Amino acid sequence: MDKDNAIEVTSVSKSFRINAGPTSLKDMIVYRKAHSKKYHPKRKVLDDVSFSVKKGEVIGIIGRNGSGKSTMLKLLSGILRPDTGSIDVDGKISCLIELGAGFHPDMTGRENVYINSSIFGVDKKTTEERFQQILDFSEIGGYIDERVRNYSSGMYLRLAFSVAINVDADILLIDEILAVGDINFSKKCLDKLRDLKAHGVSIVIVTHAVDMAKEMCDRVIWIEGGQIKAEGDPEEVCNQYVEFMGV
Amino acid sequence: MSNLSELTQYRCMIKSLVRRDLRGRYKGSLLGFLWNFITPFMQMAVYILVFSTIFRVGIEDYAIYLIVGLTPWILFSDSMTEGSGVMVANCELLKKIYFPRAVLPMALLLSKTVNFIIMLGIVLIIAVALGHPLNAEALLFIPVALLLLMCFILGLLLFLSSLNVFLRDIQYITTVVMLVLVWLTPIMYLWDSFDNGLLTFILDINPLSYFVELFHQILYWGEIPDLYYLGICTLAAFVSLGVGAFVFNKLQYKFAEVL
Ligand SMILES: Nc1ncnc2c1ncn2[C@@H]1O[C@H](COP(=O)(O)OP(=O)(O)OP(=O)(O)O)[C@@H](O)[C@H]1O
Ligand SMILES: [Mg+2]
Repeated sequence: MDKDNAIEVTSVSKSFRINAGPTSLKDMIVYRKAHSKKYHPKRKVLDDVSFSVKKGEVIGIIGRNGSGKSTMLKLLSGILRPDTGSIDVDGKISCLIELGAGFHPDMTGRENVYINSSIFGVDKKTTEERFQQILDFSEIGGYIDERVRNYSSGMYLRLAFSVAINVDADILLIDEILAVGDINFSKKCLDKLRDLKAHGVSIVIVTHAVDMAKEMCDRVIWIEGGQIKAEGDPEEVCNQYVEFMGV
Repeated sequence: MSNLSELTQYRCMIKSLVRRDLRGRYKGSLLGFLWNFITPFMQMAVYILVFSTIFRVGIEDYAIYLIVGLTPWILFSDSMTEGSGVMVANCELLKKIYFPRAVLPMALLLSKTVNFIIMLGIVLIIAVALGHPLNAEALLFIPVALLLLMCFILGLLLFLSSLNVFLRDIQYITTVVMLVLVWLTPIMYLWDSFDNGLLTFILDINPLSYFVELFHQILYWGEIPDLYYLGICTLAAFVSLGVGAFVFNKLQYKFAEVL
């Protein structure tokens, strides 16, 4: 692996079995046929995808709904494993794939900050030291001691984002969650991302906001039909994409 | 091996899950944390009542015999009933965040172990209060017995919780098995108090019999445990952990996909 690279993705393919889900004993016995592989054909979501992310680089991933962007992020974070090909990662990953993942609705924001940091592998003492910083960044003030069940989605985002950027990650994976923040917070997030980038953190953002991709990213990857359709200068790739989508 | 070093990195996650389980579970209920003990206590009280007054089992200090056996049993059956479904219960977490998957069954086992230790303390207090003789040297073997039992349980949990992702019946089957197994383990009666060949045979092949007997020896009979029991328990613990870890390793990368 090149030492300037934070992520190297080499010929990665991923298929899912359609309707594979869990079974029950009854289904297994009564509908034996329905469980044969023939009835669960595979859908290839990513097909021989290769790219790399340099240290301190911001990469945008764009593409239509269902094109495999979230799947790519899950592969990068280790939640999913590729069928073939390899993914090499140098450094610690922090991911924001869905809003409030790992939040416990019946616990307060404060308790959730500790739980969520621990899920990213940060110990309690370190979180204690950073707590004020996390709280300040989120700007949710007194709500921190209320149950997150009653948070608005923007408040969820504020807390989740503040935690995720405070876990000393070298690589940050973000899946179109920034959209629910208000304009102030969105700007604050983008500034923070630039700041992290300046400190050598690599960032991969999945987004449908083409303007943001143009503004933030060093490079944009456009995924279409499981393959990389175009890759390179944000302005160029985004324009191609917009044209392709016919809007 | 890399899996193990990764797990140590995530020990703070295990700790916080345990804390969440112990404190968060009964949040909003009046008695809160106490609920962790009310159920097992009622269970013990009912058994003591039924067996010492209605069936009149002729075991000396029967209450002690019973609670000594029930304590490890409750650790086992609570861990199994809840633990076989632990992956399914945490599917949101598994699908959206990366962490070593074994963290979940481990945290569950540890939180049940905290309850076990508190119950054990209560058992000791009751034993002293009722004037049942305790052997200090034998008590030193409690950590060994507990550790073996925990390994045994963890192996089964790894095995069952990962299979349950693919076949949801496992969880319900486990619950039913626990209902039956409590009668097929020498908890309410003495191991050798029967002439029934079948029952004796079942008791003999049930690994849990040996674990329960280990605790009986230490706490009820006040003896240093036999090498025979210790040996069988060690074997059971290793086999369970080995098979569990093997199956878990094969299946864990599919969890996020199937759930
Ligand atoms: N666990 C799974 N089992 C089966 N199919 C799946 C699974 N996860 C994703 N897919 C399929 O993979 C394809 C890509 O999904 P993915 O979530 O990666 O799309 P996306 O690019 O993130 O779309 P969006 O823009 O809507 O977020 C979809 O067709 C989806 O149905
Ligand atoms: Mg998506």
